[in-house]
Amino acid sequence: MKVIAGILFAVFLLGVVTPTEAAPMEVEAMLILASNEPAPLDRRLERVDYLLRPVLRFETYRLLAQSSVILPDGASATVALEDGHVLYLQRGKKNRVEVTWQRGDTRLLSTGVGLERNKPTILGGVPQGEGRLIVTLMIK
Amino acid sequence: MKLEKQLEQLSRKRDGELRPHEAELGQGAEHAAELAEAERAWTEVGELLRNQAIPVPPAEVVWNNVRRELRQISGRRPERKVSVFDWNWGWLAASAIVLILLGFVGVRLMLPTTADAAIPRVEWVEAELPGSSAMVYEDEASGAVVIWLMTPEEGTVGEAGI
Repeated sequence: MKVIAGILFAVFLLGVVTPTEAAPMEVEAMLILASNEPAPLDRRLERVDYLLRPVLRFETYRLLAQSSVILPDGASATVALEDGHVLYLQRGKKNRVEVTWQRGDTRLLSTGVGLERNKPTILGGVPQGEGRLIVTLMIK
Repeated sequence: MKLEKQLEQLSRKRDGELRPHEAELGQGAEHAAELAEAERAWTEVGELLRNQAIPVPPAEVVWNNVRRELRQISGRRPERKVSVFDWNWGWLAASAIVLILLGFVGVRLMLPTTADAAIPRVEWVEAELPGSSAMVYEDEASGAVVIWLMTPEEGTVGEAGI
């Protein structure tokens, strides 16, 4: 009987104190120029083009830079993109990430967002010529 | 030195266990004749034992004996009939409870906690581009979250459908 009680107690403890530290996640960032100027489809954007079009409704999307970074739980990372654009990522609990988007020393946008697999996070609206700059964040 | 002590020393000497300083102490023994007699007797007994023929059975006989013994042991083992009534219901109940609890623990680990589930995808946004404001939009169809900087010239650039 003591053995059974011990097993039950161990299982109870397992349920109560099991650490829920999240595994490292690989975040892929893309810097994209969206505009309404006619241009051929950028094949490098096939994975996100179909997601961007219904939401943003620009005519064309052109990939300017792409980079990936592995973010362990609680870690921070810097993602350098094209033309002085830099993303500072600070991972919080689970898949929550604080993102700061800068161009050179100018901060453009900061946010705290939860990243989810197969659900891109799109930061955008920064004017660039006749178009707008977009940054997509996705868990790989 | 007593005879018994000297006999013991002699025995240890024959066995190679006597240390050098003990051997020196034993020299000039008082009972030399008795010791010599004992040593001779031990030697004779040793030789007698060594010369005695010990019958060794052939390997086949020994193997047959082993097999026979094995057959007898297996024949003696009682056949146990398994019956539902012989089950240890206490252990069965405990195992079932453990499995159920493990299932609960697994579900608990897989599901987000209540606090996490209540947090929206976008917790906060700061539009830091001068003159801009931020708009947050979540597309239900794709699950995509859009954080868009609205600038004064928004109306003239693009046709962001958000």
